[in-house]
Amino acid sequence: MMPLTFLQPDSMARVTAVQGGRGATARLAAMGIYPGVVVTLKRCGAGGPVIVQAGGSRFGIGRGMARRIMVKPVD
Amino acid sequence: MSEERQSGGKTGRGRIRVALAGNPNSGKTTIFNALTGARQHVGNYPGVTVERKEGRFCHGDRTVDVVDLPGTYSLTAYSPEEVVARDVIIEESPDLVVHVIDASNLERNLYLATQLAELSVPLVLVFNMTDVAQARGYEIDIAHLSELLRVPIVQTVGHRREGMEELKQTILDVANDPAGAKPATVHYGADIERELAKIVKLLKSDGGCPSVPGLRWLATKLLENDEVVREELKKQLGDPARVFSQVDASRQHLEREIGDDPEVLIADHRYGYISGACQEAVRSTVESRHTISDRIDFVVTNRVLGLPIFLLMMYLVFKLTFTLAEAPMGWTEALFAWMSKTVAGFWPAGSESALQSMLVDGVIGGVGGVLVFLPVIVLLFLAIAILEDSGYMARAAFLMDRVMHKIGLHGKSFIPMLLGFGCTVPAIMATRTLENRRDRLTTMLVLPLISCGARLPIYALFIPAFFPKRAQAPLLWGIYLIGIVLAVLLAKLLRSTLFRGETAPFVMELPPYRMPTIRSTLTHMWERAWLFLRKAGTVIVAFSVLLWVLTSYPKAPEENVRGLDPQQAASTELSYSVAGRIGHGLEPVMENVGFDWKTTTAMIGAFAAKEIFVAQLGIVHAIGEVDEESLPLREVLRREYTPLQAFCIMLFCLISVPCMVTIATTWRESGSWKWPALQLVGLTVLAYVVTFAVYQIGMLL
Ligand SMILES: Nc1nc2c(ncn2[C@@H]2O[C@H](COP(=O)(O)OP(=O)(O)O)[C@@H](O)[C@H]2O)c(=O)[nH]1
Repeated sequence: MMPLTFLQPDSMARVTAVQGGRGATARLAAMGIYPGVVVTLKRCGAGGPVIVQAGGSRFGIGRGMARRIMVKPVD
Repeated sequence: MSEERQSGGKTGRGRIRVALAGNPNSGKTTIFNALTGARQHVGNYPGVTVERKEGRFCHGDRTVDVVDLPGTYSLTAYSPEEVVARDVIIEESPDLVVHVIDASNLERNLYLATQLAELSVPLVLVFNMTDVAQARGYEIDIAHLSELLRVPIVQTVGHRREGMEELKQTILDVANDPAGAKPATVHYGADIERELAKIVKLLKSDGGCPSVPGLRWLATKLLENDEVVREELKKQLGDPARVFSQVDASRQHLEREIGDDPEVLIADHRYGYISGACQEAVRSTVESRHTISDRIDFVVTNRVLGLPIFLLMMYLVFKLTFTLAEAPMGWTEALFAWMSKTVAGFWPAGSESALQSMLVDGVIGGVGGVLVFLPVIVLLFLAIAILEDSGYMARAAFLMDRVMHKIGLHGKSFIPMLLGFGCTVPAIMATRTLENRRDRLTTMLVLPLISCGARLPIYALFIPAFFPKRAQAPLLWGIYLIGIVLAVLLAKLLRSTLFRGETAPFVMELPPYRMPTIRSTLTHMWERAWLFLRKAGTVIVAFSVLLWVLTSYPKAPEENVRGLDPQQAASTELSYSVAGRIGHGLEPVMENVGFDWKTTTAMIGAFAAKEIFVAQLGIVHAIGEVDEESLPLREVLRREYTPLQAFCIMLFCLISVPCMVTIATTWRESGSWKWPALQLVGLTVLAYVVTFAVYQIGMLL
């Protein structure tokens, strides 16, 4: 298990936990990022927000938040 | 409204009332427009400033009223949009809810459906974007899914209006026989259900408990710790303490037993339910691959290329706007010149009256001075609409998040800022997408520094009058840039003093790139341009007249003007008037920043609306000259001011006193007079300090 930001770009991982505040976790869930879902990291520079693909949609997620999304790589 | 509501009962042949729900970017607006056509009405929900759109259509022998709910991902209490959406469903109890779903992104979109289902209102699902879903290789067994979810499903392609007849027919069918559209609700598993049952039991035994939209929903919301529902029940329940202690015990119990927040557990079960249904009814035949969106994103969100591309886009937007606007501006100018002449011609020479002066100088001059710039503003809104509809705007916010974060703002603050180039008022309203109050207030307070369309007339007047052609575009660009830089600095200051604390995490959907359709782009453009026009139509006419009075009365005594040539006489008259006196009074202070009493007088008028500054300058300089060949305003300005002064005037107008409407909007949106007062005083002081420095240094050089 590791933070989303540790993934290689273009690799897939399953979300295991979202350690946001209460509001943030619920909002991410509503948008389709919740434990169990498979996400693809599309872009993750050295700083700034990352781009994540989950289901059919794509999200920009701030770095601070992305670090609190724990994932497990899948192949 | 209330009469309509009564006649629209579920049994009669009266009107059918439908609420339209859906995620942002699902094509909800497109469906709404396709259903209702031009018969729409836009207003606001009382209290909160969330837009309320209503429309209607006729099908068969029935009339259907449609209310468009704000686009939301869920129905929690975390944003005003979500609260409004569920309040409408609960309080107005429509005959049915039509939920627009992006079929190419089914599971995420169905999340909202599970929550709508719990409100126990008949539900129709619209699977929009079926063309995209097909292209992505999804095969959806509609009949099976409809059976599983126990709701009718209609497939549509919104922008091609496919499936609209079927949708209308389905709405009628469900209104006639709602029993077929009672959606299945999610079973939350033994642990949660047990706690829910306990809460429901207590609610049932409590006399004050509201009956809508059902005890199960209320219990679920309490378990999710929904603040709004909790507050409401606190007021209504006979013994709230008894219920709440059970809720708290249940929450603690679940957290201990399963080790997770009940909210998260509930969300898990909803997704579990959805994914179960989708596994049965949806097949994906194509593996996901690199899409065109991927490739575009690779370039435009690139760390090196992203920012230059963004700046180039912005430059193109401004450049195109001004080039294309040139011709229509000329036509408008000519039209108003003709109107002035025609109206002035009603009075035979020598019999000019106060009424003539008011009509020609006050009304026509004032309104004309503003409407001349309408083409620029419309084109700017058009450009913004294209950026939004194509999907680039969300990327811009993404790109800007890093920068915005540095100055303590949120990537999403960027969209209000961009709208601010059109008009500060809708921009302030757009700050509602910011969930954190500190983020939101900071954005609101600095927004007036983003140069709005109404200030454009001022630059468009001064820049060509004082500066050579090749310097004009860079100078205009520069003025805008100064506003942006000041906004950034001020935001940083506010975040490190008044609004210290964390910014909310940035999470934003990046919709796929789409070719914007002409129809939706024009609709978006028109909605904003109309807001601007309404302002111009009402406030500006009224103030042009009021200012005409202020600048015409009291009249100077006869002996003061005797023997002067008409221009000197006009100037004497003006300096004798109320506005002139105020201008004179402030002149000693304003001199230091390059203003004389005339420009100061015009500034006073600009509080009503920035666009009045130009109209006002026109009046200030042209009053009493109507029977002469009046010199164009630019020439008069060139004669009276230096380029440095012109620059300082523009600078002061950029920074100082936001217009009345902005102040009022800030007040409404922030819910306190403190913030607009701070905005007003703070920005005026800032304007004075900055312009003072520029003018004094400029004089030395
Ligand atoms: N390909 C495709 N595009 C659509 C469909 N429906 C709407 N759109 C486009 O999707 C974009 C977003 O639609 P809009 O109605 O503004 O979405 P809203 O945010 O849900 O109101 C617009 O550019 C529409 O033209 C559809 O069925 N298929």
